[in-house]
Amino acid sequence: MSSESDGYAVYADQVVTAGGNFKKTAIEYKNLMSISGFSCPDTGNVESNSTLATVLRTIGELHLMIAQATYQHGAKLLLAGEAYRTTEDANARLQAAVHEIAPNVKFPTPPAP
Amino acid sequence: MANPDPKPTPIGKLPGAQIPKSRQPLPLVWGHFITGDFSGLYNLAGELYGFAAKCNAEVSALSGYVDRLIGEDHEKWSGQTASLFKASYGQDAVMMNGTNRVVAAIAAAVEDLAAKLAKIEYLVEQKVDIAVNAGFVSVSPDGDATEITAVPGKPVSVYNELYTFITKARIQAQKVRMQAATELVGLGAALSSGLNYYSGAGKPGSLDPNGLLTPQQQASDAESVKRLQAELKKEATDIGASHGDTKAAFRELSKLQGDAKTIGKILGDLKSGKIIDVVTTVGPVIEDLGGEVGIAVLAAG
Repeated sequence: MSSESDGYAVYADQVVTAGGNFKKTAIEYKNLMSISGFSCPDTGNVESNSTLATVLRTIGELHLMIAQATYQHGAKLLLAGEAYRTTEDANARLQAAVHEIAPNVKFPTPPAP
Repeated sequence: MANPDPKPTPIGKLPGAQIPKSRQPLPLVWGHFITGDFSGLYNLAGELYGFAAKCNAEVSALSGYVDRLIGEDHEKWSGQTASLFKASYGQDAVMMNGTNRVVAAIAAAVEDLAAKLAKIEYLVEQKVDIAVNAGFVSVSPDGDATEITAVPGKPVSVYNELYTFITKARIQAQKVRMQAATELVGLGAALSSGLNYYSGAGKPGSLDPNGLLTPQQQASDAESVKRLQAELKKEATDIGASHGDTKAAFRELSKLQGDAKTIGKILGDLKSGKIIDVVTTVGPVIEDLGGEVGIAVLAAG
């Protein structure tokens, strides 16, 4: 399904599908890490244990934020796609209305050049 | 009406984290003269490598969606919204990619720690084996030895020599742990620059984080980001106080197998300031690691 908007080709269905794919991939991405994150084995020393644990938790936090941002991209695509569909529907209704009234409209004859 | 936009540049394949094709197994050990869960650390490194590889695949999948959607010659979705979306996603692709590469570097540091500790344990056990077989010392019979005991009636010199060797080995193991901790703090600083980016604390380099997260998401993440960064700063302070030789640690880090370019880039960024400064201020580390290709995509719009 395609339409013209401001002269630009718009493929609403593909945009909506891509939005769904982004959301799905964001969830898959998030689930690559368990809720508890990575376990922290004993390095044999309190200080290095603490450092490793903090770095592993930082990976988890950054991973979550990236997943959220990716999900947002999906939401943006869905919004854009739905907006295109709405515009397309409005165009279609306008065209139908024009067709409906066109036979009854008497257009003025253009002046001879 | 002709499309005034420049032709879009495909995001294509970003330089993902480098995952080693094969890994050197740890030596087989039977005791615990050197403390630490070597196998657990080795397995963690494997999990981190696997995680980075799977995340690489997700970035490729997302980039593929965008390239198929927008195309290379405006034959598909086009216009200002399409260009803005592509730039916005491109930022994320760069950040995801940079994060994957840092995770792989962390895996390499953890694996290196496991290998070095296990090797020290192995060398101790070689000497203990000889002394036990010669009847000079004994160890606990359950195969989980942590100490040696002098055998009554035998010359104590062998016990003393072995005891000294084990003590030195333990000191060496502690140096190895602190070196690894210093490396990890440096790699954590790179991750911290990513936290800053997503929490909107700044604009590293050319990338603009605005709009990637909703204000609600930023607010809910802010507390944990703040806490983690405070912890990273404390780790940097503690490790710096007890193991001041960060240059030596970074020299070792640069020798690690794996993504040499990533590690080199991180070290280059960290050299410009103290680790603590990098942890607490906005650095372009993750963004830089995302790859020149990603930056080129953003520049092209």
